[in-house]
Amino acid sequence: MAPRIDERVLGPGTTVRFTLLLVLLAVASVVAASDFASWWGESDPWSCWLATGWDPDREDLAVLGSRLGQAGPLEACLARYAPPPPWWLPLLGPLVLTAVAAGLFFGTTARKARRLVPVTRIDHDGDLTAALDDLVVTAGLPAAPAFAVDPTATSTGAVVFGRNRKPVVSLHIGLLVRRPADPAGFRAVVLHELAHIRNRDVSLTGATVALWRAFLVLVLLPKVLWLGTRFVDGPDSPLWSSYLPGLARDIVLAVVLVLLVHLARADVLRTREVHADLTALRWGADRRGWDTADTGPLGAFAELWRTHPRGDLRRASLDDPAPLFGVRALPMFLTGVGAALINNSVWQYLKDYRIAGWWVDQFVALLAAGLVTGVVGIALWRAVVHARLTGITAPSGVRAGLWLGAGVLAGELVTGQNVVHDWVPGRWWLLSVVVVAGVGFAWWIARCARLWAGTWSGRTLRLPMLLVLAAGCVVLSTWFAWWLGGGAVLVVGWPIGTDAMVAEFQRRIPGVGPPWLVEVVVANVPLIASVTKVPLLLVAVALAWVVPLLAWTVRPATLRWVREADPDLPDPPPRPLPRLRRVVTPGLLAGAVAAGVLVVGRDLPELGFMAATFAAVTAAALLAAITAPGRHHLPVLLTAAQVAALTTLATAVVLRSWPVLGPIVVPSLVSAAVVGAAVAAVRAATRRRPAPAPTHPVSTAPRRVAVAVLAAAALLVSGAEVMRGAAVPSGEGDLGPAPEAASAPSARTTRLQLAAWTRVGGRAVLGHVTGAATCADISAAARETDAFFRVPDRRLRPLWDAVVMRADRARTNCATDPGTGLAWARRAADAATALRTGLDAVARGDEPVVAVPGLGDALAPAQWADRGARDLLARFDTAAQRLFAYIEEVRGKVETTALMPHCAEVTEVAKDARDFFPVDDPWMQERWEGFVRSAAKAGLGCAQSLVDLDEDALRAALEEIERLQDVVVCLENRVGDVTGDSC
Amino acid sequence: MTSELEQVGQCRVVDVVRDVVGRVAPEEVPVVDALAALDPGVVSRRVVRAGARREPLGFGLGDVAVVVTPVVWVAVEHIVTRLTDSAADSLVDRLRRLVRRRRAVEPVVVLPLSPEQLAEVRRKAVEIGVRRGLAVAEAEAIADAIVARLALGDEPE
Repeated sequence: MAPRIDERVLGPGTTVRFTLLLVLLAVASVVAASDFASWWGESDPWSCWLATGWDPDREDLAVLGSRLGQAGPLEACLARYAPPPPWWLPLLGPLVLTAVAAGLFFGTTARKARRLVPVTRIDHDGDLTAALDDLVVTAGLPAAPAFAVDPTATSTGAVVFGRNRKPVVSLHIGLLVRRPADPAGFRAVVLHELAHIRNRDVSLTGATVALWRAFLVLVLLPKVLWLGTRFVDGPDSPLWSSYLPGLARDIVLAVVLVLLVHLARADVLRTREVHADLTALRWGADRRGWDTADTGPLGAFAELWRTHPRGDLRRASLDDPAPLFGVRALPMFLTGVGAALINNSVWQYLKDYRIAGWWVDQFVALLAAGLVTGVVGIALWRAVVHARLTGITAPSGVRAGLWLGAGVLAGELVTGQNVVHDWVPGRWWLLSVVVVAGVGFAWWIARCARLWAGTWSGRTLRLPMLLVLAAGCVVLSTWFAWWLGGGAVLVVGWPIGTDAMVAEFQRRIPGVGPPWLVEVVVANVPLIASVTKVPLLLVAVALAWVVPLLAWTVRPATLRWVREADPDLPDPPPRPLPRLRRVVTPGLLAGAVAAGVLVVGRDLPELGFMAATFAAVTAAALLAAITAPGRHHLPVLLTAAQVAALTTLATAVVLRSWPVLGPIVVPSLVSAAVVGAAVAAVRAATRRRPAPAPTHPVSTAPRRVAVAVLAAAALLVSGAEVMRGAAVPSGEGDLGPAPEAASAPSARTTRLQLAAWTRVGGRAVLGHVTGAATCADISAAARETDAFFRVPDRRLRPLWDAVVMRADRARTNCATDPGTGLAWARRAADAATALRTGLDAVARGDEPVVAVPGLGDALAPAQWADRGARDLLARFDTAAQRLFAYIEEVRGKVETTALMPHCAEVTEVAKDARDFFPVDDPWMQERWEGFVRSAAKAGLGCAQSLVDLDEDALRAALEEIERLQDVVVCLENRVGDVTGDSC
Repeated sequence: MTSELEQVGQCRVVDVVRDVVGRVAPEEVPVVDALAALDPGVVSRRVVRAGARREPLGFGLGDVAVVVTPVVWVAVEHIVTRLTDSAADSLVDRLRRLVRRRRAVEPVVVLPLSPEQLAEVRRKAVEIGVRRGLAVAEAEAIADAIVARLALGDEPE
């Protein structure tokens, strides 16, 4: 028989599990309240989504692309056609839920009390009261609970209910009838109930039951009914295939919630029963009180649903409380699911009300992280401590982590995190990273627990446990916060073409580094950004290695907590740790090597140096982790890797400057931590172990290898995906809008999109353009078109672009020259009319006429000049003069960043000159057209040559600009009736 | 034990049950006393339900110690209900009874009972006793005690 160990060596950890359930129900009611409010009001986000040009037949990435591309109009549309309820309304959900639950709680207590009779009514000789008082004294309760009798309960039991401060012990009448014949049994039953009071189980149990019933009636029942109606009339909708996944997920979610709450609650209650049994036993209850033929369905599955452990399991726990120290799969899995649901609900609320910000995400993530750390951490600590006391092999935490991660994964899938209209995220296989994270977290906790349990000499382990759990909570919260942003990038992909981003990057910082490097960096910018934005990430990295490192600071002494837990054990000596010098030196040496490499490459271009530093830090961490000593792998290797990384970074900062290296500090240290953990995992998995302990007859080696392979595969795949990001197909050229689908949507979809576009005000906007008679009208209409969705049908896009451009020119000109402004307004109205005709044709199912109406009859040269041609020519001349003045000033030694705006100015003028009024002079018209074409080409060529650092190309562009200056003079002269030689 | 009520031909259910239980299973008399202290409606509703209840935080020795009282109570209540039903058998009354909660007034048996009614009580008592796991002989002994109490109006010497 195992030694009798005090099960109270650490807290039971059941309160935090109950709390997790309560928090889960509370936050789930926030989302529910929001849902109910949107069913109540008229909410039509689908029209807005369709108006963006969303194609229901395409996958999520395209959906995100179409939404991101027109974020402004979409936001305005949603605010008008699908406004979220006022921010405070969803928050009423938990309030109402709590109020109803409180009502149920007190109502149930009162109802139960009505069925009871005070003990004094039937205890005529005072004998029973005296016996009960005696038991209260035995239990050492500060105040006696109210004892009452349930005359209708014929069984020989008792139950406690009410609140911790005012508990009521209800004795079944059968127990009293039996008492004269079996006084020991009576004592056992009453002491067990008093133990529940002592263990403070009463309030929490009642509260969980009440809250769950309130949730069932107020949230789940209406939700399921509503979902049912959607299923009935849903298939008629043309968008059915798009909302079926969401609907199905909601139904599964309801089922999962019921299962989760039932299973988790039953599990906690079973644990608390055993704790109460052991407490009663310690108070002197007769062990025969448990010798009952407590029958029930046998089997592990049936046991999951019971709120009381089966009799045989219960009796076994009295002798050996090992089950109270076990890390079981179910609680881990349910905790993971619960954490995902809590995070999802809270983030959903924040997203709906645009309460964005990394600090908010981080803060919110602390809630779920705290609860998960409480549940998983305490379970692992108890298991490690129990193993230490009984001499069996301590759990590695890997299995617990696998279940935890699997739970989070299941929760993610059920809530549809990172999914818009699909069933699963596009790159669903990358969700395995979640499981790896769960394993890493649990492994770290277990290793820390082992480290501290072998060195801590205090009377209880509470202090080191709290320290490790607090650090674990921060670590996990940063993971959750990162996953919200970085996880989305990973599993959904990046909806914006990276070629456009590369071009933009090079335009802003010309000559920053070789093109392939820029490409790799830019492709990973979203991911890198997501890492650097998590506020507490570096704190978490630091805590991950500093908290275990603190164990080296404890003076080796007898482990007093072991004797407190089991006085029969001989005085245990502390477990020796590797010498601190041996832990730190590999880090310093590896860091020195990497620093040496950086000294050689100190003159690299900025981006190159940053990349080199990152690589050096990672390599140093790898080197340090490989050479560090072997005991207590994880903490030792994390420390060595971080020491190496910090040494390398410090050298790099000295070589260049902090502003240069600032952006890569966080990614480097995170990478070093990941490398350290990965090497530790490999070394732990491949280490030879002594023969397995007799309690584990099955060899764990194959399982360990499998886990290692899984983790490595997941990490490799995510790494490959990150690199593959560089090969995302290119965008259209200008930054922002996502690449549109290669294939046009079906005719049916196009009609749906156009109908939605009209419904959210597309035709009304066109009407304002055609009806504009004054400068004020057209200016208002121009602002409206600018802020509105472009027409979803791609065939009609040129017409829409013409409307927007002409209305915009009308507005710009109106400020200075109302005549020209109104002339543009008329041309805008022509385009708008043509667009409306096109819309009608599409609605009828005909092929629309998509030719953009011309700008009307050619203008006389003088009038043409007045309408804006003169201004454009003058603007070009000014831009060119400024450009050459700059070159003159620096005597040809141009700074790429300084010259770039001048090139852009030339391009800008060329863009404004495009699609201009024709002039009634063929000679001039021909030269004008040539000028517009060449100016655009020269402007772009100028910019591109700077990006490529191509001197010849720059020279050619400048020569062209110089030539165009002559054309400008020539055109200006012609307008002024002066005939020059240059023409 | 003869109460004042009995002198006018009525008899409280609880008194009948106490007399019978006192004779058949005297150790269960405190059970009847405790039931008497409860609201009659609660007793009617809950005594009918048999067996041990599983509640969170509950613990027990796993067996049923009170077997006679519920059988007696349910059998006597049964005849009270039958008498009331036959007295007011209009459809409206029956519907009203369905809607209304069980009466909270003290249930009484109107004596004397006809031989048919006594036979009915006996049959019911045996049926309930057997259903609750008693041996037929035990159930019959309880049934006979009930009939004796209701027929004679007093505990037979």
